[in-house]
Amino acid sequence: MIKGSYWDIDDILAEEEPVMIETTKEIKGAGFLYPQGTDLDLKKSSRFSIPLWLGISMARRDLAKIEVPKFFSDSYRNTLKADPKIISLKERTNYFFEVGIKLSDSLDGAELVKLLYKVFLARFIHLFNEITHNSDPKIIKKLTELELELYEKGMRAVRELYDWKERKFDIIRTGQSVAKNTKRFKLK
Amino acid sequence: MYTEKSKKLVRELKTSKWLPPYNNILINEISTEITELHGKLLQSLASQNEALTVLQAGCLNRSKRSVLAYLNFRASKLETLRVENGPSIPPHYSHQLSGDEIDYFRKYSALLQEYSQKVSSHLDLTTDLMPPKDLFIEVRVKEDIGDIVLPVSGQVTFKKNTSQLVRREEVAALIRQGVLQQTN
Repeated sequence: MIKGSYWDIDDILAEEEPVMIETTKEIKGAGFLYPQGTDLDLKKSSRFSIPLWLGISMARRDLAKIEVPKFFSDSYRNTLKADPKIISLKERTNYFFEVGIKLSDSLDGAELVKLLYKVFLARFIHLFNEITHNSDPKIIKKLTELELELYEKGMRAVRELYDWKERKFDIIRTGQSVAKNTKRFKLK
Repeated sequence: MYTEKSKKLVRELKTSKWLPPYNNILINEISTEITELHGKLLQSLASQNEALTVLQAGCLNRSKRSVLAYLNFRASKLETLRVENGPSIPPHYSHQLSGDEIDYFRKYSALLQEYSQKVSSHLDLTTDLMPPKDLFIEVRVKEDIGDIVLPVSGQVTFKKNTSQLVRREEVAALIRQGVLQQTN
């Protein structure tokens, strides 16, 4: 599946991340957007959280303003700059980079993207070292969904390289989807 | 909020290691929600409430995208299963699937076979790309499956925890299913 395409479920989930918005217009009949959903109309300058995709589409039409999420606030950006490697981005959101890029159009775009690029690069180099030097599997607790995928692909590549060096390339292995599941089935 | 259900549906895909059971109830609920929303959308179009139209159309398309992506994701998993595991669905997988999905799997499998036969009568696309070093390999049996008949070797008995020398291409599918394990 192509990353960020219509069919990408990670892309869909990244767009479900809640953001705070403040409405700039009154919209008749749009009260269903409120989390409680009791009012009929959407009032002017009310604050509440909605999914990212809706927030972006409203911001584009000047119906609402998106507030900067906590994990892109100035103080958190400073923490990120200090040492991106050891921070657990997963605690903030599972789709840290995707959300950042999607939000960059509505916020201060260029600076945020630059920061995300730096953070990702620093974390990726760290991750790469961890993969190639067989380290602590605890690292996966701190990774976002995107990094986790890179981690799994990296681990597989390392194993395949090892097999190739040992001339074991014609060994047939149990398929991935089967191997993961047989154990659980036996327990039932 | 209108799209809560479709969010829940897509999230389900992430909760299981392979696929979660097909959620027929939720999909039906979403489709009634879409129909309802469509009715309201037509109303607000008639009353020329632009902002509301945009929001409603957004929610409608969002639900549609979520359901389609859900179905597509499951279909692509089934295709992977066909390549890794051969033309049969493992029993513990089949009750995760809907009737239509099982049908899809069968038809996909048939197409793959039809293609293979058109190219050459002995071609199997799902076996490995590298030429093997040996005709025979040594395998260790992980599950008791008893006697089976193989195309060239004839009847072979696989007892649990024994090792045997067998023809490579005949047991490749069994190894991928996790019944045998290659040892040399």
